[in-house]
Amino acid sequence: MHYSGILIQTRAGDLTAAAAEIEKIPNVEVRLVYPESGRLIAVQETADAAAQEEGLRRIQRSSRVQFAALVHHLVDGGGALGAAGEGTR
Amino acid sequence: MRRQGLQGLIRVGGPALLVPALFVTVPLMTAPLAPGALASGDVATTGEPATEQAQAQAAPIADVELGLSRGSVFDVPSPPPVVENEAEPGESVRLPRAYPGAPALVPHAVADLLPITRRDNLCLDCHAVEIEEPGEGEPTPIPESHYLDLRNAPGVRRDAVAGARYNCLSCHAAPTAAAPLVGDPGGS
Amino acid sequence: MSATELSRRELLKATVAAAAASAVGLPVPGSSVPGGAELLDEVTGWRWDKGVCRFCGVGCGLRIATREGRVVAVEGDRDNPVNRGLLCVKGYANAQILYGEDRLRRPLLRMKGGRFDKRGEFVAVSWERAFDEMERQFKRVHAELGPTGVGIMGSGQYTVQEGYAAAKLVKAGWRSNNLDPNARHCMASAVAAFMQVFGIDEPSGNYDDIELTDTVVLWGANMAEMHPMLWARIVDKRLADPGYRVVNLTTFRNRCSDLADLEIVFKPNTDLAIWNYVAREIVRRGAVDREFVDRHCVFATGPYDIGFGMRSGAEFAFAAERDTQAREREVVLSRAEAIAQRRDPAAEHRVAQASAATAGKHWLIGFEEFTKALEPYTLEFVAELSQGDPDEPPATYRQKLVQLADLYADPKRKAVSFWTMGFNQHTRGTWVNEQAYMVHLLTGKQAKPGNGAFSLTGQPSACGTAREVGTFSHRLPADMVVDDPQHRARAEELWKLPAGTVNPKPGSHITKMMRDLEDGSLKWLWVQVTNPFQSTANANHWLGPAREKDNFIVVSDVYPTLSCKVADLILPSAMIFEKWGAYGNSERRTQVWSEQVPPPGEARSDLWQVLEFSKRFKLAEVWGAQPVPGLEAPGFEPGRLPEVLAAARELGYGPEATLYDVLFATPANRRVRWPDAVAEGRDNHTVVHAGIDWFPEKALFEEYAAFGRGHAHDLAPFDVYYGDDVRGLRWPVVDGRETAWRFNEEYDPYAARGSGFDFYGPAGKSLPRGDLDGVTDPEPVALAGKAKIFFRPYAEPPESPDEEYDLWLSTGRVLEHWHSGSMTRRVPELHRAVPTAQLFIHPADAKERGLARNDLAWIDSRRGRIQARVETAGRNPVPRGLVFVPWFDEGVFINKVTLDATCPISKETDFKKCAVKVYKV
Repeated sequence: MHYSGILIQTRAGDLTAAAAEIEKIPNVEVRLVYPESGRLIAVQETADAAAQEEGLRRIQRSSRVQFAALVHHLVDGGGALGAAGEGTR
Repeated sequence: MRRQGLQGLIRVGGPALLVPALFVTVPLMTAPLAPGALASGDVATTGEPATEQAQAQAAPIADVELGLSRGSVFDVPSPPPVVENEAEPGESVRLPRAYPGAPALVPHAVADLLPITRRDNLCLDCHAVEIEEPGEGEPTPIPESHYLDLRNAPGVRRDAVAGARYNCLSCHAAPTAAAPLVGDPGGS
Repeated sequence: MSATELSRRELLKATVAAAAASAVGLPVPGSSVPGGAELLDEVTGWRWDKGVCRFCGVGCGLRIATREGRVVAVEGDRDNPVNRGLLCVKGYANAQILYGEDRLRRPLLRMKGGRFDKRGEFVAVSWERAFDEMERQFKRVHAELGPTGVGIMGSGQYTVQEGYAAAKLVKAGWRSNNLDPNARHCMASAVAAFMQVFGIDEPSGNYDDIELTDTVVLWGANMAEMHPMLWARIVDKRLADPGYRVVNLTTFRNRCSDLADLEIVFKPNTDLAIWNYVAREIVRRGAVDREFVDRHCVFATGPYDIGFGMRSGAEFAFAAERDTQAREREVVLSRAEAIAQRRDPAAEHRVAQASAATAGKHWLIGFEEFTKALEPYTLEFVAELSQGDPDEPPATYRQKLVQLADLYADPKRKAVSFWTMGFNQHTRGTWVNEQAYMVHLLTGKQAKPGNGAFSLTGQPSACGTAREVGTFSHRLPADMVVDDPQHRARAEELWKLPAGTVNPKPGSHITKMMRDLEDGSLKWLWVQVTNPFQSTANANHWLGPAREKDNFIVVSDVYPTLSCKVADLILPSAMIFEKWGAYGNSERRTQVWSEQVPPPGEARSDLWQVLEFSKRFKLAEVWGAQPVPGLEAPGFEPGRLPEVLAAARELGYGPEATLYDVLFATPANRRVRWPDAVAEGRDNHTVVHAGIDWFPEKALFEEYAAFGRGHAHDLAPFDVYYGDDVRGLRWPVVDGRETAWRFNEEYDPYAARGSGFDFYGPAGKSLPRGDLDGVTDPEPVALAGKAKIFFRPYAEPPESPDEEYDLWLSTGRVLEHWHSGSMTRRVPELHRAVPTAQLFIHPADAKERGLARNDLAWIDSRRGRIQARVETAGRNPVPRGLVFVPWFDEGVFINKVTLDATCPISKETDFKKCAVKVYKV
């Protein structure tokens, strides 16, 4: 399984509503909320990298999201991997 | 118990105590582990070479065959000319990183873009952009991590690249066309 | 789905969320995830641990990832206050430097017909065979020449424990003081000045001064390339704070100039004059902090006729270098020197260099004498003397000097002065270091947050090992010296040695060891963690004798370096993350790491090598009476060390006991058991291959720490440094607390209560009085708690450009390569960035010689000539009249050209100044 940690900057307004909207996306859970900066950390669990990409795009397309970025990625089982490192430095 | 990394980051505590784990990821690198290297010496503890490889090692080596500049220390070699990378930004191909998390290399000529001064930073002019997936000819965007000021304001995303990262060439090497002197340490 | 699997998924999600938050610097509230780290390690196969960068003296914190016995990645440690998650281009190469294809894996001995032969080729042999030959050759030389015929060249890249073991073997075991590090070439001048000014070594301040000050002045320190992560902190601060000022004083433009507010390009050696101009201005403008100076400082000076640390006789001089070498005996003062030393500039002054052997002698003077000495250093005089770029308008240059003085003299500004090799590698290196303290002490800008003169080191443990452990030919641990009877007694007590074991005569410094090889007074040499045949100046003098004379040279290294090519025996060493170790950085921060991966083949730690070799010596062989030519010390027979075997027997050591038994496997050390909980299951190949059940790195660390505890060098217990929350500690660590600013009562527990500031270093704190010309009252005056403000005059270097050799040559480093390049040139990204050492030359100078960019040029001095490719642009736009060549490249062997003159006080070579000619190949 692929697990991705996603940083989300919400647009100004109702952070709770934004979190709720993101939670509607399948396999995505909001885990950490930062009211002062309007930021969220979500975790997505998908079977493969393609589904993960798609999930990230759905988050990015949300009207309440200013930007969202994959900042941590982990693959459990299979031993292959996804490197969040690529492009983050 | 002493543990680094995630133990630190999932611990409760102020930002200053958090240990990062940006690259706690499985490596993409599939290179063989220590190619041929770790095994080779195991045979020699008796001084009697026992394998073909050790025997090959046991063949005498002249000092002129050792080291980065083959030849005698009494020689005066003529160093090769420096062949600079003349690729223009936008025309160059992204270079592979040494390992996941290693800094990107600069794939294009930089001479005309330097120096980086307080007023001019031509690296940032092109790369401090938001491009989701850069296509051919588009600059690699500076990643999120570079907008964080880990010393003065951890947890705050700034609008500009952190001052400590302003001198791009401190971390990002700009290769010439020179061939490696010995085998690639990554084994790749 | 099973319950275990569910909880595993839950755990993974929690840790991924936490990791993501942390990656972007967000705090992670709520509870921890027990077992999360172990699970992630299991999933990824990567194990992370803390470590320290292998390269420069900044001491950046690393996190190291290993997988299946191999280092697979490193990243900057965000929790380390030194670098806060950043690394430079070399720092990232820590993951790669272990894996160059040509790592040394087996001992290699020169042989012919199955026997050692100096003319033979290298043949792989067992460790036992290697040690047999080392021992046989050692004992042959020792029988002929005694303890001074053998020596070890060490390094500021030794771990603390390795350096300590080498020091104990050489000083306590062999009773030779011929142990000296490459750090002699790096910061010996800084040490000498610390000792003379403060009576104790190492900086009062720390890196936090960068954020706390508002004025940074770089003197001969290209931090942008050589200390890049400290430079990142300066740039960060400068960009954020419009009132922050950065000044770059240098002999050629470099990358620091690109971001500096003020660049001052001066003529080589005239930094001595510029400091005196600044001091004169401070006095003239009434900017002296009278209260600070009156309470905490005294004034001092010393002789001027101290030579240049060259050989006194011409016996070994090449014909072409005789004129330079003659200046060791007599100097005709230049007009500027005459003015600077208050003499008649119209007269000729021939000055015999009579104080060469007593160069460090000094005495007290009064403030009036001090100001009188500064009087010649007017703006006009100094500006004309020191301007380094002939194309700069003189009025502009003069104005810059005024601005510099304004910054230092302004009582509302703080100031930090940084320097590295530009000061230290200087035939008046000790003087120019002392001048920095002169200005900071005069203005009270020392030992306070954001204020201080701050000497940076080049190597990762130049401070931690070379200086603190004392791997110098004159030193013992914790700032003690071999020629002080009380210091020897204390070392003998802690080492449980018979009185009179330690040799009171300082040994040969590293350049002198090379000279000793040439003149045959040293015939057995072991080189560890350094590449001296590439890094020592005037190399043509040393290569021939090393290869052709009757001597035996052992080189321990990780890759075949140039020194390996010169060696008779090559020993394969383990690298940083293949062993346990500790380093100490430039701000007194001691940092540790654990063994992460096994060394390749039969490579072994340098500590293992020292321990094993020490088993080859019985006390009867080394603790009998020994000849030491020139030894003269109270309580010793001239030229002779006493027999101490009988006294040893009283301590319980029989003549058959080995140095290993007596020095290393002591009862106390053997009680430090292996395995140890601090290792958390990690390996220790030193233990395994030594076949022991004790933990030598921990035992030796604690044994060494006993020297400094209670003596203002306190280290914390070994295990403390391995703690989760510890990213090194700045000594002295007293009651578990590190010391941020020394000598300052508010921060330093060693400063006497009520003193405010207490410069408590004990060395040189009793001095006679005199005037500018010498001692007038030999009765010593006690100076407890005081720092010394020295007057030191301008002096010319031993060699300057003339009609034939018409250019200054300066050498140095580049960002991408470390020292002689043995590690970094094997990292493709670094090699490709800087594939060869280029000759940086001004376009007009190049044109005049018919040279264009990338042409091959000869660089020719009185001592040798080499070829390099011409660079007229790039990162170092040099002024007309000066060329710069980095020294990392053994294929551009610039040390065949350089001059081996040293500061006569510190014995550190001046690699920054000699005269060359350049012409087309």
